[in-house]
Amino acid sequence: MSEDITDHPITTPNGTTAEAALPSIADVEAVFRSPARVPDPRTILTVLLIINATVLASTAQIVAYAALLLAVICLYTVRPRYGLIALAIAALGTGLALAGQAWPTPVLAFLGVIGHWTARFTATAAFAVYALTAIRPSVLVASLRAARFPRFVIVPITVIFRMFPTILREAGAVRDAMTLRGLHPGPLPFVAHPIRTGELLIVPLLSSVIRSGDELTAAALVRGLGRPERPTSVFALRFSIADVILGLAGAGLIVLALTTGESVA
Amino acid sequence: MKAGGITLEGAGFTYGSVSALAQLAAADTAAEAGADIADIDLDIAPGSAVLLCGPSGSGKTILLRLLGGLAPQLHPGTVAGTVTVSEQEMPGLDVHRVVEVAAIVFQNPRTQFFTTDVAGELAFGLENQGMERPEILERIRSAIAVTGIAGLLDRRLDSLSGGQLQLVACTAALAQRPGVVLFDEPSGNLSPASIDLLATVLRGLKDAGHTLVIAEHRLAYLDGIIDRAVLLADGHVSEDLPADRFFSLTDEQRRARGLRRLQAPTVGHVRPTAEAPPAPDDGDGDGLVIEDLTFSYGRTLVTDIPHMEFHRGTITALTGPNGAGKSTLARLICGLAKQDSGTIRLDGKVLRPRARNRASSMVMQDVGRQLFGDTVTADITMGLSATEREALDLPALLEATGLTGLDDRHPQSLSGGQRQRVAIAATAARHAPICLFDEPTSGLGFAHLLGIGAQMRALADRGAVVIVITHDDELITEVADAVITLTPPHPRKG
Amino acid sequence: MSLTARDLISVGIFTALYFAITFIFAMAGFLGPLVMFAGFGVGIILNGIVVALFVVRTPKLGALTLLGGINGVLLILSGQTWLVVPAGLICGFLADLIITRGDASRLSRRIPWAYAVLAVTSVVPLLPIAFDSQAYFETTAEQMGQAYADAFAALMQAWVLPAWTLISFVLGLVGGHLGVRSSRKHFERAGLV
Repeated sequence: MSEDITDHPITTPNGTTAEAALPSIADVEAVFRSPARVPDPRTILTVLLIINATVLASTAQIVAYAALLLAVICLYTVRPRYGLIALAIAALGTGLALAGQAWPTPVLAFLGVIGHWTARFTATAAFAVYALTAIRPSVLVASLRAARFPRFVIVPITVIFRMFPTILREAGAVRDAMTLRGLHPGPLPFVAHPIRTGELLIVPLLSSVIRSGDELTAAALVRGLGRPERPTSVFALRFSIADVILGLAGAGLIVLALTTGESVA
Repeated sequence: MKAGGITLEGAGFTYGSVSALAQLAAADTAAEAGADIADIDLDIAPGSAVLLCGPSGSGKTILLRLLGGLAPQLHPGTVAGTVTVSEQEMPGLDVHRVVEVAAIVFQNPRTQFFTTDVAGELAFGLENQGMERPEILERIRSAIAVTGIAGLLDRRLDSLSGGQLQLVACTAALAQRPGVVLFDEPSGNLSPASIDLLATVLRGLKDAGHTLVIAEHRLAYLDGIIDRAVLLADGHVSEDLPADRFFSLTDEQRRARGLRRLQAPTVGHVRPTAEAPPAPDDGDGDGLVIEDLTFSYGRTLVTDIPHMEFHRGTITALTGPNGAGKSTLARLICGLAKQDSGTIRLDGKVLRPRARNRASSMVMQDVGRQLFGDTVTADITMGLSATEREALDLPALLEATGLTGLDDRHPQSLSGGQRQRVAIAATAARHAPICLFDEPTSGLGFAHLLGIGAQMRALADRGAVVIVITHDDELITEVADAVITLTPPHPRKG
Repeated sequence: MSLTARDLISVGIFTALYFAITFIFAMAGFLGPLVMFAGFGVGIILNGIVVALFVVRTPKLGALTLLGGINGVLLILSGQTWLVVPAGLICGFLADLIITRGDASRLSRRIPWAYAVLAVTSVVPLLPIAFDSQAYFETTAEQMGQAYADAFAALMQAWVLPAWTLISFVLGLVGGHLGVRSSRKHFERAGLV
């Protein structure tokens, strides 16, 4: 490492002295801090597991309604439109379930069962979407490091967040290329030759994702990924009033699930 | 030797590996990266800026990989001689220790990031070294002061343009406070405006006292930044010129060396007109005509074109700043997107999106996505009807696209330039009347640029409408018959 | 032979691909429940290509365990039961044992079996429906009448779970073979392994 460079006076690209262009430490620090209205990733993920374990186990309907309400409210705070969509889907499912109970004709009963499950999965899915939108991947990594998760968990999870957009973009491009080559990736050929059509899609997709993955690997390693030191984390983690509210809601859900216990319906 | 200095003595590198399977992979890496290098003696003083240039395959990529500790660590092979960077012997250095010696900015701005937001990316290399929070913040602050990207700090990486991403990469490199910063074709995927920004930042890095080594095809923007140009040919240093002598090479001399042009084009080099040249005599309805075309993503109007013509037998360059809607127009033309209103006619006949799919072919920027066959032959003939296959003169086509002898290779195993020619051959085999090229010369040397130009000309001479989306001024001057400059649409009222 | 930083990046990339392909094909489920099962099936078969390529590039103990476990975490994030994590870890570990124990030169023979074991995890998201339905069924059959009970029974019969387990195992074998074939036909010759 070259110490002499660190002492070199900093100049802006146009040669003037840097003071004017230099952001203050406080400005930089603000970027590495989540707004207080967003709960800590650890709180969000814990509540996600609570909702998951209560709604998808055989618990009373009231628990499912409560979890659904919590999930929809949380989602509404970050993506109002998604929140309303989730509410509409859940309402439809619940409506079908109630109709199936009220008029148990074979068709309605069948739809009712599907509606019952649609409503329950909407609760877990809506909260999962909330978690994905509210948690900044960098903050998630910081909180995983703070919780002393091992590297073999943190590195793959970081890569996954990084690669999803790439994969979706590449898959779209391969689809476009198939369309222009007359190798129609539409629904019909998929039904007729699912494997052959799928293989056509997957081979170029894999080739191009692996190529960009190799470039990503090189770039990450030369920047010190895999060094023996424990990595530090510059993102400030803090618990705020949002954590208290969400945490209480999660605890309430557990209490509700325990007290309503086995008494189904 | 001081920190930041570089010394190579008799340095060489031969791709290869012990296991047979890795051998095959290494051979293909070699096809990708160019020839082996040998007998390189080079002494780079701390704080100087050096350009590595030469035609594709001359060995500049592998030389840079050697300096950056990527070869032989990640690209298996045999090293000869010594390679010393900032007093550190590079071959044999653990890859994760490279961060202590050098920073690398790669060509593709979309694949060199590990995190998803700018702030996290700037901190990444420092966190890995276990640095304390106050020091990380201070380093990021002073790096931003040099590159001037304070406004991007809270952005997500996928919301940035290629040029902005390269600036973020430069800032991250700078925050490491390395003695040496290595650049692997940093302008490869950038627009002219972004290249100007990159040039400014490079000058800032140099003024801050860093040693810069830049492997590049595009050269003009480096005038005033580099001190010295090292020219490579066939894996050897062929010339080592001070900057002033290098940039005063005549046009003939630089062409003879297989180099791209050394001077930025003078203003007005591109016909600054949205007019196509006069239509060929057979007059109206020949070629592709767009009328009143509009397209929006959600509520954002991205395309609004009252009238535009592309003629058969003509190569038309489609250019314009980021966000002007070039890619969207291309998708509309080939029917991958459906317009909100307006018509697209070919030879006077209105084509609906499905018909445009059939009439178009596209050579994509990243051709790896459009190679489907397990051999070059299979790929070129895939999707053709029996009669089309019958009519195809494959040997002649392979000859014309420079693929003779590769017909049995797997397309994905070929070098970037060869893969691109497979995609062009597949385009030619389909006889599609509309041929689109999306940034075909990003990261390509002069010889490849001329080669692509010749392929486009061949398609045009067969009567195709050839449209090339490009930022590359040099490609435009070398091959385009007409230039259309797109500007972002003004929102319409209502 | 422990997992290096490079291997861990590889785990991330292939897990992302594995999940994305499951997800893309399950999306077909919006066209109806039958299409959904068909979509899952096609997804399982095509993921054989992803897993075969992953194993060839990273044939180390722990690679598939991590893929299974982290894929489970992603499934939770798409609203599935938390049981998918332990299931993914266990099946992934068994698949890892199949890959790493034995003659390395016969790796391609073992890939389909390893993948078939891993593919069985796809039955886990159905578990809550099965368990809850039985509990629900017992208490509601009398109140709700025969039609409702029949509908439940039709939707979630006792043989559905074992049947889907068997089907996913067989699809896994098929996918594993397809993967090994694709690996030879494309990726080895493309220099990507």
